[in-house]
Amino acid sequence: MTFRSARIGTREARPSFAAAAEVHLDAVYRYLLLMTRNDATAQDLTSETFEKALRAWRRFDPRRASARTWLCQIARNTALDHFRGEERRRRREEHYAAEPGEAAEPQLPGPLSAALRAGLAALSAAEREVIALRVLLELDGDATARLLGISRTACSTRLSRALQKLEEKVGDDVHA
Amino acid sequence: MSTPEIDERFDDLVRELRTIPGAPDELRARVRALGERQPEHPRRPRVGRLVLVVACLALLGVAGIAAVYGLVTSGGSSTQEKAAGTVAGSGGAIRGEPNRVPRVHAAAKRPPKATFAPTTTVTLSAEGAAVNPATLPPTQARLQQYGATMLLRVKGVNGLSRTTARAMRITRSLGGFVASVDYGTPNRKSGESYLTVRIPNARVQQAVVRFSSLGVILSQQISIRDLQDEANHEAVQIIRLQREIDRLVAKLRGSLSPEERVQTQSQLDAARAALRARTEQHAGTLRRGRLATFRLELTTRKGAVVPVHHGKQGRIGRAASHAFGLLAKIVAGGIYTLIVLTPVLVIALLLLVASRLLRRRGAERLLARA
Repeated sequence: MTFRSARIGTREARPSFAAAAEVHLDAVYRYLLLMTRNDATAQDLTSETFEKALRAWRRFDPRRASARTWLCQIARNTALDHFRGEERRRRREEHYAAEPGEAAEPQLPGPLSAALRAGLAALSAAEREVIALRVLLELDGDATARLLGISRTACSTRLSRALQKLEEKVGDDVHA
Repeated sequence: MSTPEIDERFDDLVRELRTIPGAPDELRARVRALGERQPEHPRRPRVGRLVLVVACLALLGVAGIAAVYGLVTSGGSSTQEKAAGTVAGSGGAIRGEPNRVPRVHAAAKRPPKATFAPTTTVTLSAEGAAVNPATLPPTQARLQQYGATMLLRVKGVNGLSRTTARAMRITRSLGGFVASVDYGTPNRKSGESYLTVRIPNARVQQAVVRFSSLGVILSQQISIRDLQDEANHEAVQIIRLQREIDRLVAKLRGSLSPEERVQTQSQLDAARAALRARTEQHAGTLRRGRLATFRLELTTRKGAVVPVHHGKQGRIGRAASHAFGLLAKIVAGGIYTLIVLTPVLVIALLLLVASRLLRRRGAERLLARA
């Protein structure tokens, strides 16, 4: 893996797009997978994210944010666009159909227990998002808070509540 | 296992969550293919740098325009100044603006030539600033009516009294006379004095110099009216009338019928009356051409400030002054525009902040529902 430095000298080393994509692809995919809980959707959104990132790569400034945070921001916006589109589609279907069709339950790939899958399904996208950023991507509190546009305290509280809720859901499912 | 800030009781949960797999090979291949493409657009300069460059260029442009404006409006070479000082040919009048004082000085140094306008007026005035005396002299070869009005500032009521008396003495010493004096001090601190004096034309230059020394000149107006043509015309008419009278007298000496005699006598009386009137008019014209009229206004008003020596300013100085004047106007215009636009900009900023806030809240709600 080669890291080309676009600027040498006083500026920070700036990786090439290819290098950044190679390093952060898994993180972006896992983030989007946890948010959407759908492998196909996550793959599409990941592709879209990297296409957008390639177009905007000249604007990436490593002094302002790490490549991972920058890519996650693009992924978040892409996911939000997706959710907005989904909501519009759902409303349209509700408006025209007497009984909306039962949407297929999204499936998370991987060796996750059924209880955890059910627990994650019970969480909102916002809760899954903070878990993805803090637990899967291991972003620090500040970066996560900046990405979500909330304070660091609010970010910690949201993470704590989300994990607590997930724990309870998983526990309930196991007991059941 | 757990990252800082994540409670240890969630360790099992965290461990299991981290088993979520990475990107499948198919996706990795797609993204790698993307990475092999070069960015489509060439690198553009940063907005901040672009704004800085544009601002610098704009500043340079404004400075350049100001410099060119200053050079263009500062007047040309000394030849141009002399040309401006020459009295215009026919019917024209020179009127010196406050910022054209150096041109008037050029006129003062170089007396007008033999071409004359019926009336030539030079006005020197400056708001709150003193002006230098303009000694535009009458031409001795021609009959001219010379008039000068001077506004002078003197110090205090005592100074006003002394200066008024001194002006009268100067008038007499120059062979002239005081036509009128109006002296008034409404209070102990201020007063004004108006003098109208007549000075022989031959002593006009001395009069201007000596009256100028009475105080600080606040404004000055000199008018020269050429009377030569008028006097010549009157003289020709007088000669014609004289000849007509001689002819009529000779006719009366001859043999005439009573009716013709009465008629000729009547014509002779009319011609003599016309001759008298014309002679008086000619005498008046000559008198006006001999004596210049000076109207002096002496005041103690403190509106004036330290004299500004425009005459000593060179072309570079004038150019710099004009350029700075234009720059000041541009800056004032910019500040005015900013003041006018500030409310609009503030509203636009508030709308932008509000829209971002709404968008963020909308995203929060959307994610909470999803």
